[in-house]
Parts: sequence; structure tokens; C-alpha cells
Amino acid sequence: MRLADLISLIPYLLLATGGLTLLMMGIGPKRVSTRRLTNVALVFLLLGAATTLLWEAPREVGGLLVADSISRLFTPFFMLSATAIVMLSTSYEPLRGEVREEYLSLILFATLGMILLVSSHNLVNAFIGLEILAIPLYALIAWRPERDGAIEGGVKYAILAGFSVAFFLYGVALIYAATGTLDLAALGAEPTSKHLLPVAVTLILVGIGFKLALVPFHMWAPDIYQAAPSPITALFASIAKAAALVFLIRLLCLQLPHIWEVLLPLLWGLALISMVAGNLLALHQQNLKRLLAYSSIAHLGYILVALAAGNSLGQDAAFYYAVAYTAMNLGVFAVVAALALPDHDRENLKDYQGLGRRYPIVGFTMGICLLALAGLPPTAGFMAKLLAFGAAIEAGHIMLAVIAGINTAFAFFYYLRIIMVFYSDKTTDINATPPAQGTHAVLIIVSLFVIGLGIFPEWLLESIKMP
Amino acid sequence: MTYWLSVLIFLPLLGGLWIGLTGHSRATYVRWAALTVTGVELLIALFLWWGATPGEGGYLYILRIPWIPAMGIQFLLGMDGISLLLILLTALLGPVAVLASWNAVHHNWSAFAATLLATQAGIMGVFLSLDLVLFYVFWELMLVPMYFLIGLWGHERRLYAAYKFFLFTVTGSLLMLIAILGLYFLHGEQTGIYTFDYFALLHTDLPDKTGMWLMLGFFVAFAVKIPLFPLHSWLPDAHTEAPTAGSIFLAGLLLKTGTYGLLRFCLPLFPEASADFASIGMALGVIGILYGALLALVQEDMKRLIAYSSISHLGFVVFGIYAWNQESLNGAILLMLAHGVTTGAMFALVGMLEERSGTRLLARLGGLLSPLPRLAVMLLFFTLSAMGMPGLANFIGEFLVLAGVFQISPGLAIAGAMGIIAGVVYLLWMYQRAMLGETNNDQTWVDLNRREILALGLLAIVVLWLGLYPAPFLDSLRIPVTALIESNPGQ
Repeated sequence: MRLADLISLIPYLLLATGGLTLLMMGIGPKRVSTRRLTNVALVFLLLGAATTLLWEAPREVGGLLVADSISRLFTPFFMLSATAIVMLSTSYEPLRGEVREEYLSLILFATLGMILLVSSHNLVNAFIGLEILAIPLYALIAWRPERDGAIEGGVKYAILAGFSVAFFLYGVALIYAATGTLDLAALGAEPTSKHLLPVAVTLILVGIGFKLALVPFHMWAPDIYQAAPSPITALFASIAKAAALVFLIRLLCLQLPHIWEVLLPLLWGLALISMVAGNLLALHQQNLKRLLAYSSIAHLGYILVALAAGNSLGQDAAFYYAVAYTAMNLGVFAVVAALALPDHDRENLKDYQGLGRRYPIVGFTMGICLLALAGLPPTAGFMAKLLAFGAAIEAGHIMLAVIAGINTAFAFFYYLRIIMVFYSDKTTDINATPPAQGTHAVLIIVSLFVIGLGIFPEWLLESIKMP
Repeated sequence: MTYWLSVLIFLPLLGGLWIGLTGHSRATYVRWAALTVTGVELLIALFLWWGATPGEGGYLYILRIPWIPAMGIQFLLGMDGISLLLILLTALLGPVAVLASWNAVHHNWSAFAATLLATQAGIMGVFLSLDLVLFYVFWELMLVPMYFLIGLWGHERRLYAAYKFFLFTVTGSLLMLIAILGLYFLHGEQTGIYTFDYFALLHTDLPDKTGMWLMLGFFVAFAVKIPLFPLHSWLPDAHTEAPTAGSIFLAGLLLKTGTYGLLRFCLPLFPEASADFASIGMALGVIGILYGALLALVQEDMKRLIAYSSISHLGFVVFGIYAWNQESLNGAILLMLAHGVTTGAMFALVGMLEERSGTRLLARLGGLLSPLPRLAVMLLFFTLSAMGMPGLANFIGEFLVLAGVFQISPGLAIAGAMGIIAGVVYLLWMYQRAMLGETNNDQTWVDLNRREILALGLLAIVVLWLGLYPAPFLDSLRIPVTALIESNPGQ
């Protein structure tokens, strides 16, 4: 193993040791303060993000991992988002005193799973990443099990994620049966005549589709979004989904373009039903977390509109959308976490009345992120939609683009409704403690990122260019 | 000098942001700050008018800064005669809107001023941008603050009106976005240059059917804004529920962005498709004129009445645009200005009347001429202008439009003239019911104060100027209108 290989592995090693270190800190007889635990977790995450700067991209490590421009972008991005999640968790009222060794190490492990997934160069490695990502989430969803629906949510997610992984594994097995290799580069060189390959990739797509909550695999999403503590909802609504998405884009667009072309009609259909169903279900939803769950289903639909185009613009659009989507969702769920009551999240929209006026920074972030989700310029959400619709039009999918446009227009209705509630004249009972400094920092950074990415999309589009 | 174009956009935007952040619960400071910003904006616009020298293609100023080179998106602003006049109108209505809402807005003045200024910035951007993505950005950007103006400071059914306004317009504009992208790729495939630059896209070779579809994509967005029958139903609600300043901006400026879009994009970008479409466009215009006038006849609410009269007047503008000759285009643009000033003033007056009487219903008004002489005179002045009294603003526009249309189809011109007659009926009737007759209310009345007279006086001067000596305005329209006529394939 050469030194450069080792350097490429440092972020993964750091996260694994970070998770273990946190667990070890709990063994000693003396109780370690929560603050110190959090700091340790943050240091490992930030160090991990920083070491990706040392990478010599593109580089393949042992046929398992690849450090190319995609993983170089998303690895630090996921780690920085994970630091945001940690900061949200520590000041999240319902989990006060519960964010200890186990919780933090599980977040670190989940992040490890994500970065393994996005940089995997081998299907088995991707499977391992997917599982390392999923298993901590079962526990995190049900954290503080005496909460309403916590256990139910955890079990539901465990069962459904198990199903989806079975599909994924079946697909992997079929690929091995058809070609005799699991290496992505080798798969890309396979001739197109093998009919088993599209079937296998479709099965993988089903497995990933569960993770992404595409219609018709979306049933779990609103329940789990509602059941999980808000910082955890933020985690799997933003980065966990983005990780699965990036893996899917890498698999389809970069490694298996010929299979991508075969699957375009399927992606077309999934895009159509995901955005239509997501928006229709969100239209009259009164529970904010469920509403956001449906909205993210619709957003995955827009991303598939870009992927279904089957051109290089569509691929860029999907990557850009993945980043924008992560940031926007992180922002809205951070707001939900920041406004949580002492023992539970605010559920119904009317519990948020007037809070935007009361807490200006929270209201500002909510406004920016919701307008970005709605696709309003000059935010990242607009640029993402511009690229996605552009890809569809370039591919000649005018009908799909028009439907996506009309869907976007309808989505404005419920996003604006939320903003109106946040700024309504009446104010509900406010929190005893205002949102913490750390939460405010997360909110401000996320909203600046959402605007900055929208005004300067070049930066991202350049960095995902394949050499 | 060209950088002043971006100042026009960013001054109100940043000024609004500053006021929004610093002005919490300091209403007096906020009012004066907003007035200063809009006043400076007006001075800059006048300065640009004064310093204008026509350059290449009739453009007075062009500002070109690369923004996203990879996709051919630029920060491209340009001002020709048409946009110059609309910029002046926008800058003029800014201080008027601030003055009109001086005491009418009771809560959250800082947020109100911020949204108002943001709306103004968005409208400025729409009139200036010549890059299609940039245009779309501003097109959406003016929508959101307008939505909040209606939704947060409006009257009883404000939320319903705000949603309706937003959903109509945003659906239209998303269809336009798709048409923009379609044009972009078509142009890119033909020439290999992928750009959203208006000047480059002007010479795209469009296949017949595609050109028509793309034109319709743009047309729908503009038709919703104008609004043309049958996409008009958001307008009466939005106008009725909006606060006074919102109504002034909505009627005076937002509706003009639609007709401006037709002039700037629909006709020059898709000349063949627009020529084929012209007869339908004129028919839609004449339907708008008559339909708006007929509905205005039966309105009880003054704001609703003026809203329907706007549909009627904007029908004239569309009528003139699609007649597509020298007189009608000049007339249409002058009418846009005249309508902006007149209707802005009338909404301001209704707002002032409502502050005093607490109602906008004609049945509960009446006999206010003697207790409120100044207000009554002002209302009479602008009412006369709105119904096309010679010597006042609207007359020239309507006359030129009818003269232009008459050359193409006398029948349609006669139908349009019927709209003017109906206009006289409903406007005079409105005035009679509101101001003349017996008073049925014996509260103590306070006539217009100096602030209100200043706001209305500014507009009255412009009305007289437009009506008596429109030559300077027509002068700046000469080159752009000639270019528009040259692009007509039928000529």
C-alpha cells in the first residue's frame, strides 16, 4: 500500500476511530461532559473533511474506493453537514442529556457509511456502505424510545430498509451471475448484449428507490420523518438521501451509461409519478414534518427528470440538485429542530404561527430555504431546477418538462403557506429558551450557502467536471 | 455611466434590506428612509434620461458582465426608449406609493418598506434585463415581495387573493421558463453557441410549429400578467385586497411588465409566429376591452371597478401591440404610461378615501364634494384622464391605438371605441355616486393634506404633460418602434 493510498483512506479511518473513541470515552468510571464528547465528535468530522484536501484525485484505492472529483466534493460536504447535525442535536430540547457517546458515535458511523457509499468502486463495498449507513439510523430514529411513535418508527424503518437491501443484494447477485465481476469499472466495459444486466440494475434501482422514497416506494417516509427526532430527520432527509442518490448517479451515468439508456423510460415514469404524487400529497398536509417528507419526494422526482434526460447536462444537473437539495432540507429541518418544544417537536403548522417574527434568524432561514425548495431565483433551488428542466428539454422531453413546471407552480402553494404561517399576525406560545448559538450558526451558514450556490453555480459545476 | 443601470436595481434592493434590518419599530425613520431611497431612485432615472444618447440598435445604455459563462448566462442590462419610459414610470410611482401609505400602514412599517422596495427593484430588473435567465430571475423576484405585500398588509380576504395572484402568475412564468430553455437549445443546436443573450437569440431560425409553441410559452406568462381574458380572474381579487401601495404597483407597474414582455420578447423573438398570432391577439385585446368595461359597469366596490377598468385599458394596449404599425405601437406604449400614472393615482385616491370613510363601497359613499373639495377635484381630474378626455394622458394613447387599428380593420376599431364609451359611463357613474348627491354620513371630514397633495400633484403634472406635449416621449420611442415595425414579416 502506497502513501497516497493511505492518504486517500484517512477520512474513512478518522471517522471509524472517531466513532470508537467516543464509545471508549464512555467506558471510564468518570462521566465525561457532554460538551467534551461533542467537541471530540466535531473535531473528528472536521479533521476528516480537511484531510480530503490532501487527496490526489483521481485515484483508485485497492479496487474498492475511488477518490475522484465526485467523492472529493461529497465526502467533505457530508462531513460538514454531519457537524451541523451534531450541533443541532446538542441544542435540541427533547434530547437534552441524551446526546452522549452512543448517539454521537452512531452519527459518525452513519457518516462513514455515506462516504463509503459515494466513493465506492465496487458493488460489495457499496452494499457495506449502505448497511453502515442504515443500521445506526434504526437506533437513532427510536432515540428516547418513550417518545410517541419512536419504537414504531424505528421498527418500520428497519423492516422496510431490510426489504430494500434485499432487493439491492439480489441485483448485485444477478450482476455477478451475468458478468462475473462486481468492480464498477469492469462492469462498464461489459458488452451491452447481456439482458440480465438491465434487470439487475433495475433491482438495485428499487433498493435505492426505497432509500430515496421514490413513489411507489415512498410509504415509509412521512411516518419516519414524523417519528424521528428532528436532527435525525434532518440527517436522513438531507445527507443520507443524497448519498444514495450520488451512488445511483455514479452507477448509472458514470459507470453504466449503456444500461442508463435502457432504463430511461423507467426513470421517466418514476420521475413523473414521484413529483405528481409528492406534490398532491403535500398540498393539504397540516403536519409540517410530513409535508416536508412529501415535498422531498417531489424533489426526488425533479432529480429523476434530470436523470431521465440521459445526457451530460442531466448528470450535472442531478449532482448539483443533490447538493442543493441537501442544503435546503438541512435548513428547514434545522428550523424544525430549533423550534422544538421541551419534550417534543411542534407538529402542526399552526404551532408555528408567528414564530418567524419572534425569532428573526430562524424565520429568515425558513423563508430562504422554503423559497429555494420552491425554486425561486436567485437561490440554489432555482439553478437546480433550471439545469434539470434544461436537461429534459435538451433531450426532447418537452412533456415531462412542462409537467415538472406545472408541478413546481403547484408546489409554490404549500411552501408559501408555510412562510405565511411563520409570519402570521398571531403568535403561538413561544419557547422558554430561544434557539442556541450553535443552531443560529448552522442556520446562517446554510442560508448563505443556499443563496451563494444559487448565484455562483459555476463553482460546483466546475468541481464535478470529470477529468 | 452604464453602471447606473445596476444602481437602479440594487439601490432599492439594498436600501430595502437596510431598512428591513435597522428599522424595527421606528416608523418615522423608516418612512423618511424609504422616501429618500425612492426619491434618489427617481433622480437617477431622470439623470439617465437626461444623459441618454442613442447608440447601436437604439440602445441608450448596455451593461454586460459575465455571470455563468459555462451556460452562457450574463448579467446583461440594456435600456432603449421603451424601457427608459417604463423605468421613469417605475421610479415615479415609488415615492408616490411611499407617500400614499404613510399613515395607511399600521403595523411593521420596516418590513413593509423592505417588501415595497424589493418589488420596485424586481420591476426595474424586468424592464432592464436582456439576458433571458436574468429576465426570468427578476420576473420571479418581483412576484414574491408583491405576494407578501398583498398577503401581509392586505384587507380581509388577503390570503386568498395572494395565493390566487401567485399561482396564476407562477404557472405562466414556469411555462415561459420552459420556452426560454427551448429557445436556448434550439439556438445552440443551430449555431453551436449556447447563450441566453437576447441579441444573439433575436436571429434564431425557428421552424414554423416550434416557433409558435415557444411564442405561446412566452405569451401565456405575459397574458397572465396583463391580464388578458380568460386569465384575468386573479386581478380583481388581488387589487381589491392589496394595500394602497400594492394596488399602485400592481396596476401601475406589474401589468405593464406583461405588455412590455410582448413588445420586448414575443414580437422580436418570434416575428413569424407573432404575425400569425396577431389576429387572435387583437381579438383577445378587444374582448378584454369590452369584457372589462361591462364588468366595471356593475361593480359596487371602487377598487374592483378600477381593477376591471384596468383590464379594459390593458386590452387597448394589447390591441395596439398586435396591430403592429407605427401609430398603434406608439399609442400602446403611451397608453401604458398614461394608464400607469392615472390608475396609480386613482388607487391612491381610493386608498385616501377609504382611510377617511372606512369603506370603498359606492352605495355607502356620496355627497363628498363639499366636505372633501380637494380630494373630489383630484378624483375628477384623474377620472377624466382615465376616460380619455382630450388634453389629458389617456386620450393620446387611445386615439393612436384606434388610428392604428383602423388601418387594419375598421370593424375592430369600432368595437374598441365602444369600450371607450362604456368607460365614460362607468367612470362618470362612479364619480357621481361617490362624490355627488346627498351625503349619508355626518362624520367630520379631513381633506387632503400636503403630503397627499404632493403625491397626487406629481402624477397630475405627468398626466398633463403626457396629454398636452407627448413629443419628448414619442421622440424616445422612435428608434425602438421603427425596429419593431421592421421586424414585422407582414410589412
